[in-house]
Amino acid sequence: MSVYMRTAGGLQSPPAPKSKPKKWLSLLLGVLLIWGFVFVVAPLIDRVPAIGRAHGIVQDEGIEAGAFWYADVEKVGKAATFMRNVRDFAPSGAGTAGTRTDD
Amino acid sequence: MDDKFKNQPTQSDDIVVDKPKSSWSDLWKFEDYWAIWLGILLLVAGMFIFFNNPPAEMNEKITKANATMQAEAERAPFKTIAYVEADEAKGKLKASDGDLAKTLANYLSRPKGWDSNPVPSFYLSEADAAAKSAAEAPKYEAAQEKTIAVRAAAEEAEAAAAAAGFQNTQLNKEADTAIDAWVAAKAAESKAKSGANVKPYNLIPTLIVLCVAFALFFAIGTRFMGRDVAGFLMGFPFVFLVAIIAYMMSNQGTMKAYGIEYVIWAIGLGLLISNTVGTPRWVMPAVQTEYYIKTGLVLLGASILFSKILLIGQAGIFVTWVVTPIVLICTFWFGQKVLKMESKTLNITVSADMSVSGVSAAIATAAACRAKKEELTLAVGISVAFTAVMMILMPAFIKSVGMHHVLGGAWMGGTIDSTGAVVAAGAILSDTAMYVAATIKMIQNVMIGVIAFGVAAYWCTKVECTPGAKLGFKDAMYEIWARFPKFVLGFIGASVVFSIIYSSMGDDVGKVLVDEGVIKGWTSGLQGWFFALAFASIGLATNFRELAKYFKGGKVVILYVCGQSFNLILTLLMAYLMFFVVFPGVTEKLMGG
Repeated sequence: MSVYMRTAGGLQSPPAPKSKPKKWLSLLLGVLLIWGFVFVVAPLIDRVPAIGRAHGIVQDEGIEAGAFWYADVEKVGKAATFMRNVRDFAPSGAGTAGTRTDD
Repeated sequence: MDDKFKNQPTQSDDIVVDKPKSSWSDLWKFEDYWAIWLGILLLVAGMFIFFNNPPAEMNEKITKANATMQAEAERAPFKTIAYVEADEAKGKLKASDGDLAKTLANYLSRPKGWDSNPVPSFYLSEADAAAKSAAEAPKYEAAQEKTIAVRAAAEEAEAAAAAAGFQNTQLNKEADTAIDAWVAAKAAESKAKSGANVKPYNLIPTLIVLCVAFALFFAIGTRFMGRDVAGFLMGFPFVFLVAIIAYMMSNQGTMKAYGIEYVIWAIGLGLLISNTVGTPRWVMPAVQTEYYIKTGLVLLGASILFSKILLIGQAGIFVTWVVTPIVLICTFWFGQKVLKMESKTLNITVSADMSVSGVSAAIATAAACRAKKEELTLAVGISVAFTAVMMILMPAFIKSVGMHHVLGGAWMGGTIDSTGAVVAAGAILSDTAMYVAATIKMIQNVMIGVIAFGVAAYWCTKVECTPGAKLGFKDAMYEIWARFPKFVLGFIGASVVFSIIYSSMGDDVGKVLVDEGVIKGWTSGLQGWFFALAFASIGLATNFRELAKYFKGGKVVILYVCGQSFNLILTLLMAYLMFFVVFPGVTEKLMGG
């Protein structure tokens, strides 16, 4: 049974299904595009100073930048420990340490 | 057919819909319940493994460390060497360090990092490991020497400050700075030590075992649900292979820095296969998106620990638990009334992922409202794309305007979608920014349970109910129960049970046995694999043209951009009010911490 599609130009037959070689070619093209993005495009973008610097910090610190759940990011545990220490063991001995500054 | 259920949505491959009638046999025939049973099985196993194997002398070591930290905190106005060492000793206590736990971790291992050659993702020979270690050995030796020298300087500075009775501000500041330098030197030494002690590995055998274990595990429910078990077992290795390649790609050096996670790769690879050569028919019985996602979500529930919302005090609660629901509801309203989005489920999924916590919120919300898999894919894709940009732009902006790092950290934590990107953005600025950002995001993560429950309840009382149907109280309750996504009960239940366990243990023991035990050593790894399988399934079952039609008119992107803009403004305003006007003491403590 043939199926027709109604278009602005009238009834037309649907596009013919791709042949097997074409399908495999499409897959290969997709793989090549991925390879191109990972090994060519992304490293090129990294040459923009601000982006390269930021990504460099992420790599040096070993941060799991893609992780979406807090339990999968090592530094979240460190952050939680820091917060607990600020809450429970904040240094309050005699004198002052001076204000910590961050650049 | 009874008029009450005339407009009942019908079963489709895209979403799971419960039948209107409940019976006891649902408990072993329905996917939602199997997600709960399988999730409970794994959680109980985890508790048995980790709670019964605490680190040696755990309580004594914690007590000793806390006593030292308390004494040192009272003695000096900065963190002394003894304070730091006691804190580190406490931090080394992990239930996941036990032998059985390490064996399990081995079997749950994901493909490792690589740059240009993917082989080290799975295999590193003894010779290569030895060569890598030897290359890094001089760096480690240098780091060790530096730590010794810097520690000597820190001891000297601390002694000078102590000799002045900690009354000399300048000496105290110098001691604080010297001790910070020593902590940084120790961190560098630890990193160098890892580089100089590379162990060989081979993940192929463990991945094969994991594939078989997961296949049999999920086959249990498949059998009782009356699905094709043989077909499932035959197709599962293919789906698992896509998940493995997704993890491998996400650990490529550049991709890892960009934050392009395994979820995106799983969808992408699945889409590539399904839209080119086509997903083989024999794989389809194993393409079970909802089954894998719901089981993963029940495990995720165990790490939604309510005591964490108090970590940064009331300031953190306002920035997260007040701002987030306002942004979520306003964005959903905007999508319905202004943009007139056709799909409510797409609207709420995108609104949740933008306002709450990205991919994890999208997964939980999509499952709770039974969104289509294409809608979840879109929400995740948009979130990851904008996250990669915000991770770079926000710290750059904060630096350029000279924003206070506590404010900047809270702002980024409440707005950048994914936790990893939040930590990365914070780290680009400073440690303080990173600690605040990470904590705010973790508190938002904890909201997912409440959001999922709220969305599920709203959907089955307001959205999916039969329009115009006048039901008595009993019938209305019955209909709500029939429509309610039951796995959400397992998700919330796991959260409640583990929150109670964590609170009863106390923060210190809870951290050792739950955070660094059951969660990091067990559920985190398992849920990651289950989500990878789920998103691989989405990709393998999705027609690209079906996905493309949701972009029509660009409404979904407009929704995200408008919602995120509102989120940025409101979060910044609330963070400023809370950290600088209402609770300035918190900011002072954080800067002195």
